[in-house]
Amino acid sequence: MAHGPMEQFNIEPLVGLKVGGLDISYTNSALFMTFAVLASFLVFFTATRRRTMVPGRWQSVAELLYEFNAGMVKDNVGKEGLKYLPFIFTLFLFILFGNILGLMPYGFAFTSHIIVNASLALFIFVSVTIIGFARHGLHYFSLLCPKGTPLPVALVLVPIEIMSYFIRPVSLSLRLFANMLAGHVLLKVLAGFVVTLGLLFGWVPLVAVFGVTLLEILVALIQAYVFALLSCIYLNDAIHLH
Amino acid sequence: MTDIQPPASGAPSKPALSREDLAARLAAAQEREAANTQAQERRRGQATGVNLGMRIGIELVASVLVGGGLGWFADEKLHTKPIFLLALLSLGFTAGVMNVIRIAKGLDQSGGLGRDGTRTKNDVAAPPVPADDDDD
Amino acid sequence: MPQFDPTTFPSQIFWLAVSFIALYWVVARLAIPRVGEVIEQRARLVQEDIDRATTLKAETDHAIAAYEQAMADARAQAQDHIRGIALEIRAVADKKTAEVTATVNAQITDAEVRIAKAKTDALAGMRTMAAETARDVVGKLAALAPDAGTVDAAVAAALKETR
Repeated sequence: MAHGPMEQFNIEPLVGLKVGGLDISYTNSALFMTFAVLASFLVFFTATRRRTMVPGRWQSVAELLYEFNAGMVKDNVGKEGLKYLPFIFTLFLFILFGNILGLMPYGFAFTSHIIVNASLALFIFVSVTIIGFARHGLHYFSLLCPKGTPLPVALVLVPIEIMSYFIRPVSLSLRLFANMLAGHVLLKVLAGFVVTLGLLFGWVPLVAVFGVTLLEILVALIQAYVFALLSCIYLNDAIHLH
Repeated sequence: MTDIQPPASGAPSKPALSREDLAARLAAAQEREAANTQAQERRRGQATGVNLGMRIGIELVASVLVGGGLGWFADEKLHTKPIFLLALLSLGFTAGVMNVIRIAKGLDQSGGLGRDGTRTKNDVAAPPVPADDDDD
Repeated sequence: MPQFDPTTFPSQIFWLAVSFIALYWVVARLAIPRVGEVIEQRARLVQEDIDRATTLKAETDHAIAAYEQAMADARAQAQDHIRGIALEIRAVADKKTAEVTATVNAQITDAEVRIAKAKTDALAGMRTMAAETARDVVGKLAALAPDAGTVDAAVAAALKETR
């Protein structure tokens, strides 16, 4: 426990792998990504092995997740958005399990690495932009300027809206990154206090660790939800324009 | 010569009562089924105040980062040292502030793009009406 | 900060892509079809149940209405029947009463006739008796022998006066 609060984010290669000069070693981060996939698979596999009309505990969880995502897509993108449900659902599960597995003891939160979030956000950004232009052609630019804006206002507004458009992926990835980073650093620092204060006063930060852990589970869920929700909203912009 | 009154008012009253009961239960079931489909769409998480504050902070940081980054990049390429940096930094900051205002007003998640007011309480994360979901 | 060490980026991006695609496969091939199917099936089942309950209830309502109709019909019929019987009974009673009244009336008339006859007989007897008595009285008192015609006329006159 004598480590610094940032050491928990260290990337440790487990299996060295180099392809064409690029280091793509299988690391602890990759391990937890694998865990996230396996966990999702297990949840859905066990939950849907015996599909019953009155759902059991796991089936309920699976149905809840499904309906949550389907509802989110339907509400925010509409019926047309349902063909993107697999992607949004995957995104939600990946981030959710990444966040939650990171909270486990000896866990590693790959969502606390900006590059992971940025890759996801950039992928969404590029896909949404492509979908927008594919559906609306150059008309997609009208997203940047509401109809009926007077020209002088538009001259000011359009650069700002362009900037807003490019801020999207950055704020999207930064939000998840900052939340995860802050949570884990806080937990680590509190856990360090437990050790330094010892048996006499150590229980105070211990209670705090417990509380913050509960809060972090909530944050893990909310952040996965916000990430998926914002993706839905961007998608909606691209599909429905206004 | 009293006519033999058949227990007309007595006998059918019992089935009639349970029939009304059944009717009520049926109506309730139908209503529940209809409400269910709607409620599923409404059921969603509500963000905390902490989360809202976090979002505002992130939005500002991100906008300044994007503005500064793009400006710096443009200056590097065009050798116009502080011009683009300053211009895009301030533009980014403006955009960030606008997005924050939009979030605070609970209008938009996406940071605007001309959709102010079209989407209000449908979106979550910024809840100006937190007790909204309770009534249904 | 290990987050800003670019040497780890290729590995993270690579494994992110691999695991994300794997998860996408799980979601698209396993989770969504299976869960979607079960949810749809349940919704369909519930709807079917409700529909069936509704039709059954309509049938029940129908049967109960029919039963009540039949009940009302039977009651009306019974009432009619009872009324018919009552009328019949009353007719019979009326007829009996009329018969009895007729007999009694006939007897009364008979009796009256007889009484009247008796009365006239009695009156007639009384007149002859009175005439004889008068003749006797006259004979004894006045030693006269009035003829029957005169006495009869006198008696008749006297009777008329007293009347």
